[in-house]
Amino acid sequence: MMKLRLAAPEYLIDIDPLAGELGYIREHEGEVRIGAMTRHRDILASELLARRLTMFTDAERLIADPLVRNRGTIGGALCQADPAEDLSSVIAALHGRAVIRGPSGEREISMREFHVGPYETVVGPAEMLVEVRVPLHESGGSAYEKVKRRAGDWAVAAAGAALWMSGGTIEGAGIGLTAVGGGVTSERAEAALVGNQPSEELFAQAATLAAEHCDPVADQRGSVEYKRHLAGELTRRALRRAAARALGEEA
Amino acid sequence: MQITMTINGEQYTREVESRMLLTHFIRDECGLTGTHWGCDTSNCGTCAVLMDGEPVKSCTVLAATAAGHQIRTVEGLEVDGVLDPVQEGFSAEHGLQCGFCTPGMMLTARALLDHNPNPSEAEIREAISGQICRCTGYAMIVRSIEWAAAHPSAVEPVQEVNA
Repeated sequence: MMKLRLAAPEYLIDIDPLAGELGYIREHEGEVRIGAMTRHRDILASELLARRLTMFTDAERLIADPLVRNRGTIGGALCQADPAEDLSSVIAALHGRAVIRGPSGEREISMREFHVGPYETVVGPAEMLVEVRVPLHESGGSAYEKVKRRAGDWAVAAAGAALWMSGGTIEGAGIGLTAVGGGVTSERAEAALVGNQPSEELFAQAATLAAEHCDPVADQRGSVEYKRHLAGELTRRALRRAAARALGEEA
Repeated sequence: MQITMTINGEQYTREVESRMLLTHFIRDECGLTGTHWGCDTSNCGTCAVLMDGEPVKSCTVLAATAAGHQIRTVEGLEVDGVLDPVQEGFSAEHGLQCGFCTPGMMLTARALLDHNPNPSEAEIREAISGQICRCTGYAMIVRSIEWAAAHPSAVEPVQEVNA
């Protein structure tokens, strides 16, 4: 951010020494808690996340490159708030929350309300993101699909899907959209899924809603039409894999 | 501010600006110019060094953050006149053309082999995926790392190349 001249702080506090204290992934009372300074490589390597919240593993495989993943943290990625950043939509799709600590204590906010705009979050000047909390569901499955131009690049577009089942019916759903504007989720697509049985027709319907709901801008990575097409198609693919995982048909 | 770090086993203490990047500390303050400075945006990876044994892009680490840590640069691969197998591999398999990406490629290769002595080709390609060879000599870089994996204790002197 500083090298891109997007930030010119008068004072800089190095929080790297907190990486030990704020670097963890643990299961706690029906949710997974991830410390804000957990490095990307540890999220990628986490057996717990691979098993229960596979969307994280899918996304991390394609975030930047191994060297960047050695240093970069989940909190850094979320607070940088790049519109093409992946973990924001992953956590939003999983209905996760952010824990923000400041002089007056801690507050918890839905990841869906975390971003105020590009490169802007609700974290105040004297506050710090300290933890991310993601609920776990029995019979849940999730997946993340991304298209990028080359290794290490930001997404042209990406989509994540989380489903949890009750019997053969979708009890809850989350859709996350990356780099296509219009917020990081599509609540209309989510609402269309809940209460129905998973099927190709249902996924196509949700994908169409997600594509209609997003609001991409044209840039060097693609046109509005292309990105909108990707948002729909990647939502559909993520839903297929999320359902297969929720039903135990795919790892 | 004054910072101290260990580079290739030697302690360096310098008075630096707090905004100084690790790559500039290594090159300009310590005179170790084997670490290259390329894109300055975490894309090209020629500035890769090992920080506590893990490859990192030194253009995106503040020198102050690296204070107190162990840094290894390309100058630290050769020990007492004996080249690292990775260096031997790059020589044997022609892993470099212009040489600009080479220091970063070799350090990433060293870290890979430290963790995984027998990597597959896919694992090698993944390990160096954050680094760009502007000569596009990836096939030979991969072969060089495979050579190093196959010769973990290579100590033969580098073959002289006919002029």
